[in-house]
Amino acid sequence: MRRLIFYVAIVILAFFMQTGVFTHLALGGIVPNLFVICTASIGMIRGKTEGCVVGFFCGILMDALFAMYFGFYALVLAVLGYLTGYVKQIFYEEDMTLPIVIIGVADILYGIAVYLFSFLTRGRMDFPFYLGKIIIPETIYTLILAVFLYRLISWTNRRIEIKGSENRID
Amino acid sequence: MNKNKRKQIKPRYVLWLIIGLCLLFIGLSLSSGGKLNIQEAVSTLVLPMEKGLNSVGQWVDEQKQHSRSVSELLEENESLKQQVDQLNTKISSMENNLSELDSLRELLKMKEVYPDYNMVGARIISKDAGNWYNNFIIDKGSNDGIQKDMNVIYDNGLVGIVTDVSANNSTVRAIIDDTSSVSGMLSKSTELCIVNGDLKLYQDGLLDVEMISKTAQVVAGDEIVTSYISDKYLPGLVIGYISDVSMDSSNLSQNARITPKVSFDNITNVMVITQLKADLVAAEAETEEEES
Repeated sequence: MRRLIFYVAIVILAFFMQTGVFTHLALGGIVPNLFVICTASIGMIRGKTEGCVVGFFCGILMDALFAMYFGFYALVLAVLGYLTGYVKQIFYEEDMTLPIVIIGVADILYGIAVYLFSFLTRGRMDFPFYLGKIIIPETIYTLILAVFLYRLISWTNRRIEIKGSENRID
Repeated sequence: MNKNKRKQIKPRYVLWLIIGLCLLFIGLSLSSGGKLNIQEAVSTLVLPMEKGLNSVGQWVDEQKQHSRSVSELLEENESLKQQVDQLNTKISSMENNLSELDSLRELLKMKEVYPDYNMVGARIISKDAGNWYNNFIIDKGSNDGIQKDMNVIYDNGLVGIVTDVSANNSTVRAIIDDTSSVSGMLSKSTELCIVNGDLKLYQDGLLDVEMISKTAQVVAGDEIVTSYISDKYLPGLVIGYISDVSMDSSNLSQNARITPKVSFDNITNVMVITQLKADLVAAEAETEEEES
């Protein structure tokens, strides 16, 4: 239950930060991607199922307001959440390097997916341009925030786990 | 421990379920072409909160503005003063022209070319969350008389078009969006052209113009307005000004780039014209019929 509230809170918070605050904090016209951070972090910490579900709900929120096709972002983020779940087996929460690398890779994959399905299909061929001017800058900005956000998510998660174990002893 | 006992669904099944659900949604929205009910429900749920939050964002914007240095402001003040002088002289000469125009029009008993459209002011409450598209959401919807395909302007320049309407908010696609395409014309020669948004060009603040006829005389600085043949855009709204022209590789038409009139980076309020082009055409056809 506690965990469910945590997930709902984090998805909604990410959504409002993304659409309400960070659109005003764009650096060089680029905004970071908080959904990828949340989805990938939860995928890594909690595994495939939860990453997948959290990604789905993040995507649905974004789809509801801005998608060309409703369901597209949900699909991309759900798959990303699932894939990051594979990392759970080889990963310590305290180590920062691996999560940051994974979040970076996830954001690049996200960018490539958006390019493939909604730009290439309309005949925009210049992939190096989109990679250099949109995907990579977005990833860098995202990673800067990921350092803080990942810590926050991981810390909250540990608090929930400790609370959970206390309950079990009772 | 008991959690594990209770349910142990394989992640793979969850993934397939979600993929199936998403594909279903995508299929539905592709086939219906409009907003799905579920989409509508989610947006009515979150947008009121969004409105409040956006004011936080705007406050951040203001703080950024405040931090500009005094010398910059002084400089800008100086140049603005000059501009005021120039514009004042322009206004007085225009007023002369206008009175002349009025008298000539009276002579010709001509209808005014561009009637004064009714407009509704709206506030932008959310911008597209990613880096790929340029849509935004305004705080007026069908309750305020907004309909799909209404034109949105700001500062006398075309901003975009309403693509989705909910009860209290609607989505606007900006002309700088990569999927946007507007039928335009050169205001001087009424040569037709097509103005496309392009994410790549917009990095330099430009829009793409194609299909200008080979023989048209185009120079930098020419004004591009919406054309009279468009079925969604009202005629005569300023889109932007030509910055450079080139021959198309096929040698059959000319291409150009334009600087949009509206600076999209810091708009917070827009005006929605509540006159639909389709209605305008219908009304005109009617009056013509009556006359004949």
